[in-house]
Amino acid sequence: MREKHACCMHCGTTIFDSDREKTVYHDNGDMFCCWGCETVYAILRREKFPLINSPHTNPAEFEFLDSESFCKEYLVSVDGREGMRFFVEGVQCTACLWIIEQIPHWIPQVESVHINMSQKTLFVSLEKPGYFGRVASTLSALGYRVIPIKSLDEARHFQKREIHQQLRRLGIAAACAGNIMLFSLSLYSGLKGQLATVFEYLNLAFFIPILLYCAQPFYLSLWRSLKARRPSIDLPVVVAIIIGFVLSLYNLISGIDDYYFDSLSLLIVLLLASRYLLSKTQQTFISSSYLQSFIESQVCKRWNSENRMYEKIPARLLAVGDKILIHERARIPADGVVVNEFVNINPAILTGESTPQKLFQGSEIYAGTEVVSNVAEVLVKRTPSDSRIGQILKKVEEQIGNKTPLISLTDKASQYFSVFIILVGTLFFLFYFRIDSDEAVKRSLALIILACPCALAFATPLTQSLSLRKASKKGYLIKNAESFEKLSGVKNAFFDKTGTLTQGKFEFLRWRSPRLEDENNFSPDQETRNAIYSIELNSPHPIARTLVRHLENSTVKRVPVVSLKEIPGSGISGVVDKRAYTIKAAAADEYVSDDSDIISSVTAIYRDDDIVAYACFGDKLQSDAVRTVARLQEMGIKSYILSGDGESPVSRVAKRLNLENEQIKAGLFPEEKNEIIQKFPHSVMVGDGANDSLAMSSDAISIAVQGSAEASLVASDIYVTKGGLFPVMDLILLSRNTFTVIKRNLVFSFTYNFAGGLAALLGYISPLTAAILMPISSLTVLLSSTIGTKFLRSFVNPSPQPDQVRTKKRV
Amino acid sequence: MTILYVIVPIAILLVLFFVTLFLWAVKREQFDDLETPAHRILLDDWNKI
Repeated sequence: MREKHACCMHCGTTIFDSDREKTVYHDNGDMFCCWGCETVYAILRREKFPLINSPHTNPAEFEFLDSESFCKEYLVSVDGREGMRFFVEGVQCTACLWIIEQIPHWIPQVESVHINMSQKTLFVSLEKPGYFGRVASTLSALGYRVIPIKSLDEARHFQKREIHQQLRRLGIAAACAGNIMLFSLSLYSGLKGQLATVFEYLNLAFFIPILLYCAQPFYLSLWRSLKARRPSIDLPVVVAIIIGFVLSLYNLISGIDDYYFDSLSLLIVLLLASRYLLSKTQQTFISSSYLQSFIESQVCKRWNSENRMYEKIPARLLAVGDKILIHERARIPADGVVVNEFVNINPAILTGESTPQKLFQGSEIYAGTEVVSNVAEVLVKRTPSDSRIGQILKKVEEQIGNKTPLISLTDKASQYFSVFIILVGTLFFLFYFRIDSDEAVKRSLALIILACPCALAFATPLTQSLSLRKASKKGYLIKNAESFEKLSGVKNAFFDKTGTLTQGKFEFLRWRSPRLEDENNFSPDQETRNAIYSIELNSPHPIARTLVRHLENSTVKRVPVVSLKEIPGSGISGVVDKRAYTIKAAAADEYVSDDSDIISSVTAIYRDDDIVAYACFGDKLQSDAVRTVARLQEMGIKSYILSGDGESPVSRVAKRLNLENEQIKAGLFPEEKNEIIQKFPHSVMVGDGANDSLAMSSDAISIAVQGSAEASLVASDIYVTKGGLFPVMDLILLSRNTFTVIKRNLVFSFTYNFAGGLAALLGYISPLTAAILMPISSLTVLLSSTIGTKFLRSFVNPSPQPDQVRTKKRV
Repeated sequence: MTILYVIVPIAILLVLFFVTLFLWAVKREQFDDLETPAHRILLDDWNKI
């Protein structure tokens, strides 16, 4: 694969023959320029390369990517190459770029990878089909989160053409406007005679491409909004362009020195530029995913009674009555009944319950739940598309499609303003016509052109795109500017519990002593820890696994265990070094319940019938949850918890967050979450699970936190790629400040236009003044937006906690 | 001032030239991703496969 150059394996520095004595040789013959490179390379090899080189990093999770039905929908061809597009979370710097572009190196079947860092998308094409899963699992092993994006060939192509078209229009308009302004400058400074006429006609010639080609989007969108009987900001723009052009043309022919070519062309350039920027900063591509395919395309093993073995099939082909086998860490693809003895599952993504559950033979199991340990044999009762989660996803898709389009404040304000101006212009014309007909035409047209709130038409998208860019640098992906604007008026914040307010992982929290007095920093002695570790290694129970994982972080040693015995349903026992240890679930009255904690399960450790320690487990609260909720309260936003989990864990979390009883709603079904959120106007939904997706697709603004399920990602308006809850507050603050800038622009622009309009009516505005005033007005608003967004105050996290540092996915 | 009759057509030709150049660049997708090339330039050539 890689050619053997005489260069350093790590940094690539050429090693000259004269330097050979300084060269560091590795055991396997690799060369390095210095020890530093050798060390870093060795660390990389030890830590990361095994993950890459192991053929099955985590096959079950990404197997669906290579299934035929999934490929049929997701494969796109770009420049004649067929491949799949992914959204990659966590790509930051050159090192990320490097490591991701090494993939064809590690997986030879990959033809090429192409990453777009501004969109955070990755395009992968293969030489041989069937390796998308490998690519995805390798990336996930490296710590990146990958989500396939569906971009229909045509839609994708169309979108690209659209963007290119916008850019072409902008470029041509800018070139023409620049020349028009050059010619106009000499005209305004007093050029007369034959040359002046030439320049005037050149101006006209340069304006025609702008009028006919560059301004097309305004005509189209005005036509569309008129057809929908919705006034839009394009109305005054188009009126100004047409009237300005007609008036200038008339004046040009009849030899009057009044033209608006320069102001109009500048206006169009600014409008096109701000709209282009905005459409580039909005991250719409995530919405294009097709939700259902995530569950339906999963690969699972179905029991074939003829040749008496399990065979792989895509989940969409499952029928009622099939028996399927699901391995550890995979998701159940269909609703059904457990047929093997027992299975441990994590239902969090579907129900919001934080504690792993043990299901016995005969109990119902739902699609979407994850198998934590043991395997699940399930008799299918409902197919993936009819399953509970399938139904929810269907509704989510419907609801996204029916979302009412938001109209921004600027749009609304300028609609009224433009209607008002046109009305005033007409009234003035009718009134003044009898006094001086020529002057009446001139003045009322001057009013309409001058008073058009055009500065707004580009100031708002510009302000929005600047703050959207700021947000995206911080790792917040905003799909549309209107919902971002609406975020500033939010009065209620609804939080999901598991995975949003809490970390969503069932974890070891702390040890607790059986005696109350030595409570602080209690930990069992080394001997006991070794014994617990060695015994628990033999148990598949999720609590045992969690405890083992915790103990492995400290120094523990495996010691021989004899007479191991499982206590059905509650624990395990064994003898280490002639002492009998029993590890089992503690009864509720055996330990003192401490309300300040979010402990959901306690295990007692017995040595020779005495309790030596308790181990407490639970789902940790996000380290910034308390502060975030308190800050939101200060900002006048009321927080609520909407959870599918039971009453008691929810109220414990609420207590930590100082929330009243009326602010918590527990045991909710996804549909109920949706109903509640619909009842509260001006609300934001913050969530992560598939059970939140229905509420997130409602008309309320929704934020999906880091690590969200695909369904939430697609349903949400804003996706946060940074951990913790601070981003929620940060976003609201950012939105509020952006809105302040927009409002300031509105006020300024209205005052300005009002004064200008009045002066025009009274006949004080000469073409020269108009030509100077209009760009000045535009410029002021431009400055106000750029400076305003540049110094946007946004909340800075005072002390970043270690928990908030991005944690890499363990494999 | 008669020189203007030469200069102005030249200016117009220049405009046409640069607009064509711009349109070519758009077509070659040079404006599609403004971030990645900035990082890619930092990678050494030997990294590329």
